[in-house]
Amino acid sequence: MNIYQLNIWNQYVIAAFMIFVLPIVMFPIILLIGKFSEFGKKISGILATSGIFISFILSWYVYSKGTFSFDPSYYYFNYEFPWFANITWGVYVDPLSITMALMVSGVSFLIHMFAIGYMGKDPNKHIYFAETSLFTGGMLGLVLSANLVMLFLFWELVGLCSYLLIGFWYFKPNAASAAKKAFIVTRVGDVLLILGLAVLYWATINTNNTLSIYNLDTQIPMLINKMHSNFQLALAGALILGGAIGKSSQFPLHVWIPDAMEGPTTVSALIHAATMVTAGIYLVARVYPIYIYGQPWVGFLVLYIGAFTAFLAGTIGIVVNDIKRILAYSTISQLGYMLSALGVGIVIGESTVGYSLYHLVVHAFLKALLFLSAGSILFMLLDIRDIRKMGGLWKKMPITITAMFLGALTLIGFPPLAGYFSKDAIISLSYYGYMENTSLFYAWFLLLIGTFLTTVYTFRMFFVVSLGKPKSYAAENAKDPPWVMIVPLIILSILSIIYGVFQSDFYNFFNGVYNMSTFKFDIPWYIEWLPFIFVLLGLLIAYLYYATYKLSAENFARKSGIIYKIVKNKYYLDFLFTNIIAERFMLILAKVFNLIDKYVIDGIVNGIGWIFKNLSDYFKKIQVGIVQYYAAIMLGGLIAILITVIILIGGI
Amino acid sequence: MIQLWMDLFISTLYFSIGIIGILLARGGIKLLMSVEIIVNAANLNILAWAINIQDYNGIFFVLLSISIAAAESIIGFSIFVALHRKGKGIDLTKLSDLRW
Repeated sequence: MNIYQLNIWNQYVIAAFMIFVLPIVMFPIILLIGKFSEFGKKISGILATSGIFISFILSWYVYSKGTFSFDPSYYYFNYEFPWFANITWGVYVDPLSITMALMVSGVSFLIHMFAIGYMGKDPNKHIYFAETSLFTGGMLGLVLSANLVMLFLFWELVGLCSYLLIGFWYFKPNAASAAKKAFIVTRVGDVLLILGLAVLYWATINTNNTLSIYNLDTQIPMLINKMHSNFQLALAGALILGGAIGKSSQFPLHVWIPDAMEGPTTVSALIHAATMVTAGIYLVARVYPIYIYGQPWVGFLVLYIGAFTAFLAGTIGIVVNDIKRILAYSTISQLGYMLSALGVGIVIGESTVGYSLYHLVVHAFLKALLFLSAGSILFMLLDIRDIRKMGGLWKKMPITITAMFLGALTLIGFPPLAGYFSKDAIISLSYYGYMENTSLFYAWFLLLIGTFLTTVYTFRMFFVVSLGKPKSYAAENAKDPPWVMIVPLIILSILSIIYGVFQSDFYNFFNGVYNMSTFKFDIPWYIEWLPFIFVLLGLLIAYLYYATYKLSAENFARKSGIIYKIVKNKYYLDFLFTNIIAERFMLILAKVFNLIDKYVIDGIVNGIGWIFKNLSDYFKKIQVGIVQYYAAIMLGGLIAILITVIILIGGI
Repeated sequence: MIQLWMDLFISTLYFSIGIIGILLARGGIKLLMSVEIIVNAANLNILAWAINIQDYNGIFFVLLSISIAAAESIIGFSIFVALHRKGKGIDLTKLSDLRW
């Protein structure tokens, strides 16, 4: 590990701090000038965008220190100063965090630029831009934190911003309840995360404080070799994974993302596709030594939750009709791929972090691209989100739909676009893991089926939206949006096309620092091309069902009967959470606690007050208000004390 | 010849008279007079012992004590004057405004 522990601050440390401080400082500035002047409202978007652009430049500056410096011991650094007890505060710059910082600030910059056009007519746009700026600052702080407690603070900050921005159009009842749902569901994960941090602290209480990431990375491997079956560390890993599941919306806490689509589309692109939901993946990668050196069951938990989610979300994506929800389920599915790539590391080694992160970055580009093109469509169609009411848009808005086409091809992993290099690598990786350890077979199988499902839902959406005849008045009059919204689409399209070139550079960038030997896949060629065959199969099926309508999807749905019903109702998970757990169980529990609070707790508090109030009615009679009475009592008391002293001591 | 016990006897007598005065007085002036008597009893006691052990610091201490007693009685008198001006009188049995 070539992380250099800095004791003094230099220009790189200041730059690293400014990366996340700057957007946070922009938050009150934009809010205030937007509140007090019309002009401030007008320039709020430009202010936020430029602030995040400076963050991006600073991230690049810190990144260039690692790549262009010639002293290998000085590549990446960790700078901490004490905060309280042995909790520190600082920045930790390594390939993982600086990649995330570059990705977050870059994608956030493009989405902010798009939002200048998208939110242009909103009367409260200064609030929107202030909140997204705060969110970006929080996310950058999360990825650069040197300490898990500091990370947790920023984790909560981005959760809060997610809540505020989903409910940005709070006058829509759906948006308000979706914001509440997102907040409460992620709260379950957050509680697990802080419990995990507590357990981690407890497990390593005798060593250096492992809540500091530098210590965690350097000490956990030695620690676990020493006491191999350390259950506490495994428990900490499982609880931290719970936090990641909540934030990255993996099964079973994935129910909040589809509802979160009620917010503005730029929010969905920024928070629920590209940046915040990847925080969970980042967290697991950050505390990776716990999983990779710890008891194997935690690693298998990571692997199978990821693989199962990738499959499950893909099946739901096929039956949803809301364009943004299709993309939301696609996001959940792709996050499952990233998490399972991390899980494969238990049999292969730490280098899978690079594979997972490469897919994360590619996914951020392509999903931002898909969401922004969906945003352009909704901008033109006045927020009609049902794909059955669109149709024929390729002729009406050619640039947008071409961008969407490129995004869709990248998402399904069509060679030679970036998605092919990132996603198929993960599937090959899991097959390689299966050859090492046979219990990985189901993970590989689920991920492979996942590519087929991805293709079907993506191209179902694309064909229905872009081909055929316009099916509503708004769709007939659609046209391409203004240039400020087109430019981000073009940049993201170019990134989606060419980013595959950087595959091996990206892996080397990670592996060089983790001191991991790069390995080559030693797997049969037909296995390597199997995902592509599934993609072609999916394309064929989507073409037959949704482009030419040679086969009827309704008939197929009717024939599958009960399966269709289960999938259409999202496996009854929402029903389970709302009607069973919340209403049958939690509501009764809440009522019981309410009664306990009302009668027991309040009874004790009021009862103590009542006792003293009534006792005072008797004791206040002592205070008669006559001086002689007090004097007599005093004299009597004095005499009593004197007599006591004489008896006890036996003389004065 | 005046013996030590004579002084102490008179001092104790003064003290008892003062205590009884405090306990039985109805008027504020009588109360203050009783307090002065108690202070004087204490002063006499100190003087008697000071002369007995030939330590003349005691005499000067009594001078200090007398002046403090004077200041204290002035404070007491001014409280009573203020009460009188308010029209409440200085009958101690009736001054019970702060009672429950």
